[in-house]
Order: sequence, then C-alpha cells, then structure tokens
Amino acid sequence: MNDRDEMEYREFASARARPLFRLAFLMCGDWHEAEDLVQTTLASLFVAWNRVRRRNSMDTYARRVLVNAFLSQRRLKRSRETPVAQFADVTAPVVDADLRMTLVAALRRLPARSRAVVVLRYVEDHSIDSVAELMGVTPAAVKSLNTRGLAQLRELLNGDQQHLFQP
Amino acid sequence: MTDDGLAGLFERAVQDLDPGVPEIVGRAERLGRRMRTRRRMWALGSCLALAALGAGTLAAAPPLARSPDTRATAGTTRAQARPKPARRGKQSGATSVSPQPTWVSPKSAAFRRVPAMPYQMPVPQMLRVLRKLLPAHATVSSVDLRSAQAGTLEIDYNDGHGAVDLQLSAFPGTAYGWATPTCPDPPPANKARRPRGALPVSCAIRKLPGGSVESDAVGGTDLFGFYDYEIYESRPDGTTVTIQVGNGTIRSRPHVDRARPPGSMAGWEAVADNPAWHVEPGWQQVLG
Repeated sequence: MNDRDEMEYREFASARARPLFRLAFLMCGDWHEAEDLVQTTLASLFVAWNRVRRRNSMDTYARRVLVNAFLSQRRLKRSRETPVAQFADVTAPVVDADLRMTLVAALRRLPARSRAVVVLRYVEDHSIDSVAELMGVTPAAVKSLNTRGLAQLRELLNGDQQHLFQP
Repeated sequence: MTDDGLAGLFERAVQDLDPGVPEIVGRAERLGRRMRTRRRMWALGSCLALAALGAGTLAAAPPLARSPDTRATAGTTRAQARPKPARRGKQSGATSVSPQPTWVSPKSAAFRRVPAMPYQMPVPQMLRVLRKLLPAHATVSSVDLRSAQAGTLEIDYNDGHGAVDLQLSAFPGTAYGWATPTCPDPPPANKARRPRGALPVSCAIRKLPGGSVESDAVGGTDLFGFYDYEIYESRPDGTTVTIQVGNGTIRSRPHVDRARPPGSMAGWEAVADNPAWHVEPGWQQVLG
C-alpha cells in the first residue's frame, strides 16, 4: 500500500465512517460498541484495501464486515445480554433523543439477525437480494427474518406510534 | 406503520448522530496496520513451516531412525540454543541507535535446528508463562482466550500506572534466516509529537550468547502519540519471539496517558529471551 493508496483509503473511510456508524448504532444500540464495530470494519478494510479497491467493492465489503462483526459479537455476548425497555443514551447531541431511545430499545428486543435485516432494509434501503449477499444467507431467509422482525417491531412500537410520528 | 414511515423514523433517529470520524479513522488505520503486520508474520511463519516440513523430509531422518550419537548432538544443541536468563549489563536498545544491523556470523547457522512440525504455543499457556514473568503486582486484562490465535497473545497490561497494550508472539520461523532482525532504515518517523519524557526512536541489533539475534527498537509515534517497545528475537532453534509494549491502549479505546511504556527495554528483552517461549510438538498446529 503506497502513499496514494493510503490517501484514497483515508478519504473513503472518512466519507463512510458516519453512515457506517449510524448503521452500527441502530444494530447494537450502544455508542461505544458502534464505534468499535466501525473501527474494526475500517481496519479490515485497510488490510484488504488493494484487493477490494481493484474490484470496486469497498462499500459492499465494509458493510459485510460490519454486519458479520456485529453478528459475531452478538453470538459471543448472547449468554449475558438482557434486553431492556429503556437504556442510558450517552450520545451528546440530542435532536430526536426520545425517538432514538424508543426505536433502539425496540430494536434491541429483536433477535440479532432480524435486527440486522431490518436496519439494512430500512436505513440503507438495501434490496432483499443485497441483504442476503451481505449476510451470506439466502433471499428466502432474509424475507423471513424481515417479516418476523417487522411484525415484532411494529408490535413493540405500537404504543408509541402517536409519539413517533410527530414531526 | 408503512415501510416508508419506518424508514423515515430510522432516518430521524440517527440523523444527528455525529461520531468523531477522524478519531475512528485514525484508530482503524492503526489497527489495520497491526493486523497487516500480524498477517505478514503469520504468512512468513506458514511459509517457514512448509519449508521446514520439506527440509525435514529431505535432510533429516525420522527421530526414531537417528543414531544415539545424533540424538545426543541434538540434545546438546537444544541446551546451547537456550538463552541464559541472566545476561548482559549495559546493552539497552533504548539509547543505542544502530541503523545498520550488526553482522551475524554465518557459523551460527551451523547449529540451527528446524522444528520438526509447525506447532504453536497455546494461548492459555502463553498467559501462564507471562504472568510468571511479570511483576507480582501487575495485572492483565482484555484477555480473549476464545478468539486469540495460538502463538499470539494480545492483552492489556497494567503495572499500577495505567493499562497499556502488550502483544507477544512465539512461532516457528527464521530457520533459513528469512527473518533475521534488522533495523529499519530510515528510522520510523513520528506522526505526532512525542509525549514529554518519551524515549527517543531507536533501534539496536544484539547477538545473544546462545546465538539468538534480537532487534530492540523504540518506535515512532502514531497520530495519538502512541509508541512502543518493539522486540524481535530470532533464535537458533528457529523460534521467533516478538514483544510489543505500548505507552497506552489502542485495541479498544485509544488512551495514551504515559510518556513511556512500562518497564525498561532491558526488562522486556529478558522476557523475550526467556526459554519458556518455544514451540513444541503436541501443541497446536500452525496449519489446518
């Protein structure tokens, strides 16, 4: 990796870190954990930079690493993870903090894979096939996870809809 | 709730999230560099392991077929190869800068012994050994025994003055001199101002009494002022031991609050030289 490659990497990473962070935050619901996920993702991208850049697949690669890192982390933490209705939001700038807390608390009650599917579908607007490719599962599995996740999320958010849809 | 409505909610929920992008990218790049270095070392180790296997079939008779004389010679060689725990008085890589590596006698290759199989030291065993070599009051944390790769140990080490990154590896390699330690030329540059009281960038090559060759370096700072002791020891029996001890943590939360890494270069050299770091048949295999 020469100086030019490193500069290109930095430009790409700087441009993509924020959307990746938002994706990670919605999946994991924790500011610091989201930072770690993005850091891990971008570090892996650094190692594979020349390869993925040749294929022009940097975005796909980054999202795949992020989702896999999140799911791996969930598997390790599953035994000690307890879903909570409310949690301490440590984010500093607050515009829609209540909305965020409600949404993230609901998301955290979904199984990790459903959560990843719903976030990828509705935050990043990925197609079923695209999510399937990112997660390494079949489109049918994504459809199933999406349907179940959405149903569960709607049920969880049911009481908050009035509040949530306020402009 | 419609799909569009849900997408809008997500958008509103995260639109104001503003993480510290430069910090994240900086940490990621630093972590990426380390991952790349580690991969290269692993690749080198694997190549050497394959070469060792090839050499074993060409040059060495199976152990049971060796004559008693040969076995005795091998035993002597092993004893010679072990570094002495108590050694040298004055050499401290922290102050002696030698951009040109010292010349190493080719004769040292005469008693180089290639490990019969590419084995690695199990991580729990590495941790046990390390604990014995650290000061009694020191603590280690962030030990991930599940995902750590055999032959490598990455932990947070705290001597009572703040946690720092400690990375250690012991793997079969250098049997053909591929990885004879050298000092970088030009020396590494500082990417940020060195903390007040920091050790200067340095590198020295030492040849130890048992035939090991070691580079003892103090690295340049990264963007956060992080730098480390970097010790790389190549032993006559083909084992390579590396130790990196930083002046802060970078693996999870970057936190650089010390001017110097804990301990002295000489102290960490002694840790690297310890014969407890070795590879042994029966331990975890490198390949497969």
